[in-house]
Amino acid sequence: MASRKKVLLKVIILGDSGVGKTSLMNQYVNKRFSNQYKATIGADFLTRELVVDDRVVTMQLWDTAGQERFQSLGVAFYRGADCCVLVYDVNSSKSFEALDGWRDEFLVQASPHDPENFPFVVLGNKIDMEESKRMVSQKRAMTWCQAKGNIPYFETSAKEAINVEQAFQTIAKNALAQEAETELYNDYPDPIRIDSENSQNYGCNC
Amino acid sequence: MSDGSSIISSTAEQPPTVNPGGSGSGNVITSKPSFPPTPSRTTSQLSITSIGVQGHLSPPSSTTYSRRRRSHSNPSPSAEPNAKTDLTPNDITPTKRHHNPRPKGLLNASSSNSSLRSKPSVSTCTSPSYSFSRTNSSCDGTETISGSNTPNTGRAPNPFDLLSKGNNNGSNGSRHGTRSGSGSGSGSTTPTRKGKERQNHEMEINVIEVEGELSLSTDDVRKGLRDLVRRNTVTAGEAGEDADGQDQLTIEDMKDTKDDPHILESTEQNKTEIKEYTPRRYYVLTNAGKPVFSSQDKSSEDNITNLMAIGSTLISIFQEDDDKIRCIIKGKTRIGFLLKSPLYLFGVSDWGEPEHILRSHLEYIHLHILSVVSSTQLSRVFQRRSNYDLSRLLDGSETFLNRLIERSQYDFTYLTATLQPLRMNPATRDMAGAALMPPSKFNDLLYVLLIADGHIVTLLRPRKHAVHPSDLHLLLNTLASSSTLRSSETWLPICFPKFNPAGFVHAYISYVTENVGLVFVSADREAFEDLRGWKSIVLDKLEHDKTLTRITDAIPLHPYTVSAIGCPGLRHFIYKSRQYIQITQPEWEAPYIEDSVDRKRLITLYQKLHDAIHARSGQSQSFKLVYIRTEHEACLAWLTKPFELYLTVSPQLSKSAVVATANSVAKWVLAEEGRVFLKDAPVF
Repeated sequence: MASRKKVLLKVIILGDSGVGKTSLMNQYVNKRFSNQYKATIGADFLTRELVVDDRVVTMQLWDTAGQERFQSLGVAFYRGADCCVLVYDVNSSKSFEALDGWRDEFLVQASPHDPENFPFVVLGNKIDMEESKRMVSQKRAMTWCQAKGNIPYFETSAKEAINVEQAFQTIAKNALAQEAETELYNDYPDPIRIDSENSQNYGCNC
Repeated sequence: MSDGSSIISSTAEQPPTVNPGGSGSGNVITSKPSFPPTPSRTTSQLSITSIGVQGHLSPPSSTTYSRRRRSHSNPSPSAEPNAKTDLTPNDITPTKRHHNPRPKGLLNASSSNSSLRSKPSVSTCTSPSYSFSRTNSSCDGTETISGSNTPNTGRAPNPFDLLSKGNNNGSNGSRHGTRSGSGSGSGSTTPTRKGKERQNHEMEINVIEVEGELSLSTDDVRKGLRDLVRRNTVTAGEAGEDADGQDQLTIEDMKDTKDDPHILESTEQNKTEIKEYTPRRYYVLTNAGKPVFSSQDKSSEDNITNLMAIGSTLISIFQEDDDKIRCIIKGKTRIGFLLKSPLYLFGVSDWGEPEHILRSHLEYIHLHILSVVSSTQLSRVFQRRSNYDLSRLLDGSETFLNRLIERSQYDFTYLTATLQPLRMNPATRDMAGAALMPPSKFNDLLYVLLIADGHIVTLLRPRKHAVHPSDLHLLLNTLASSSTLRSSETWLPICFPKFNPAGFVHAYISYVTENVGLVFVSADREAFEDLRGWKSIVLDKLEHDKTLTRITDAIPLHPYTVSAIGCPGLRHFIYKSRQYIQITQPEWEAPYIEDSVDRKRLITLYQKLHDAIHARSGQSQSFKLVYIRTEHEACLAWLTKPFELYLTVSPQLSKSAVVATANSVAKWVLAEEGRVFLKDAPVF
């Protein structure tokens, strides 16, 4: 591994089954789109490097399965996330209404140290479909995002690559803002006292 | 890689304990997709799958794994099917199979053991995509792979059934009867074990890594040895000269092994010989799946990043069920895990070493990281921020870690947690010790060391404190990896995890010549100036009575050749004094030159010997004497109360000659003890 000065961000993508999580990720990372629906079983991982404010950032994207029966990955999976992306399908009210549940689930499982300010991003996907099919208006979505603490909102199309780059750029930027350096050595470590140690013999077989 | 057999072993408790009656849990995995993935694109992808219906998404070539609890036997991978061929019986027939100290039961799926787990299945995505799966507990006909402890009565057909049966009918089938028969006559089987033994007869025969004759004797092998010595043997002439006469090995011990369960003999089969030892790969990640460090993985960084996420997800799948993944075995490849939250480590090897070897390398990596950040700091920072990216903090540690990894693989002092002091005149060593005795005003001193060419000359410590060889390895490795530390006076904060993982001590380091360094370790952060002043005094003393010159002169004389022992056919040995926790060994000679396949093969053989005499893979019994012969060399491990001896001789050497050689080496070391070991480490 060469010099690792770059930041690694763990980004989790959540949302109902079939809203296009994997497609968005594939469009972003591989610049590819497939009309075929193949359910994600469990989780997928993709990595992409990008530059945010002159910093090289590696995004480790954790794509999850939307179907309920696969959701057994739990705490360990969400642990240490830097950003959570909530995806819904603008042509499905149900997938939009599920966002509340996904957000709560994430906050419970990941228990970030500052849940109020944890960076979420909401993506309304499949805007390439005809307007008559649209079930969730932009206004409705934005109202919800505002109510949840001004979550950034993007309307995207994984199929036509609309807003995908911009959305992920924002995701990285917001995650990076949170990922402030933690000073490891800021406090003086507890001093070690030699004379207070338990006595042991030479050459414990450790 | 294509035999399709592999094993995941996992236990809620690790490391494996030698507990014949205890219950362990194990997992068996057969898997097809290669893991870790072979690099193919910058972006690779993994799927963790979890599917409801068994086989639902399984293409014929998919990964399949099963898991079950075993009532007996340890989930040691040494019982893996392919390992079975590693060592095969010599000219002796196994009779008392129940005494086989090898772990049994990884293939015991065919027995009446009803604790089989269901078979989860997996779908593999297109390359470079890797999948794992497990069944959901809610599904019909299958059980969750780790959630419940209850036996699965209506079990699904398990791939391991076939595997095991095949094995049974094949190579081992014919021996079946003998073993079961003699098994019930065992006198040494403990009552608690008995029931399980009986139940497990069938499975026992299936899994043998080392086959050989194992029989009963009296309590202690040394007693037996003494008896044999008394009865006069080939080496009887030397018996009187032996220090106490009790560590004499005789040919009878090798010949007449029928009645001794402590002696193991085997021959490694040529066909399983490894022609190429791919460099082992090591990975460190945070428990959030973020990469911290990787070694020897030449694939793209993206690929490594994905691999870390895969690793963390695999670990978490087991963790959800309060279980710990220990090892995945696939063909010849073994992936060992070490979970030290907030850090996870795993290593990949195809060398065929015992399982704990790979883990011991991971332990050293983990200890080094602790020596840089300390355990307390590490948990504190991850408590505060679980998304902490530790890799940036360890930036620049690669040199240290890479050398440590190298040493932990090849240097026997790492495996045995011992030291190998400079070989020198004991009188000079004592003079150095006297010069280094600290004045009483330094009450925060922990260790005072004099190092020459990377070897300890002498080491002083407070009366009530232990020396932890692995802590010293971290210090010596740090010194050896950095020429800066050796070229100027340094004040180095370092955590000695075995001494105290909570905080840092400070090492004053000063190399008084190019090769000779003084290290004063103190708990007082402000002691630099005081210790520096004291160093001048120490240096004056060392120079004044020519001790320093004598130490410098001893450096080139430290290595010795195996010919010093004067035994034809002897190629190498490692002698560990159990009293001093130190080893001595001659220089490696051809063909065991650096980086050679021969060296790697021999090291692995030594590791197997070490494993067998210490039962480190959870064998129910350890051996006192192990003899392995390959077409290249023959190796003997001999465990006595005062020492462990590992030696390598020409495979042509007769057993009586091997025995004579072992005795000669032991005798030689005994005579050289004062020079090769630091016998009386001074205390203050």
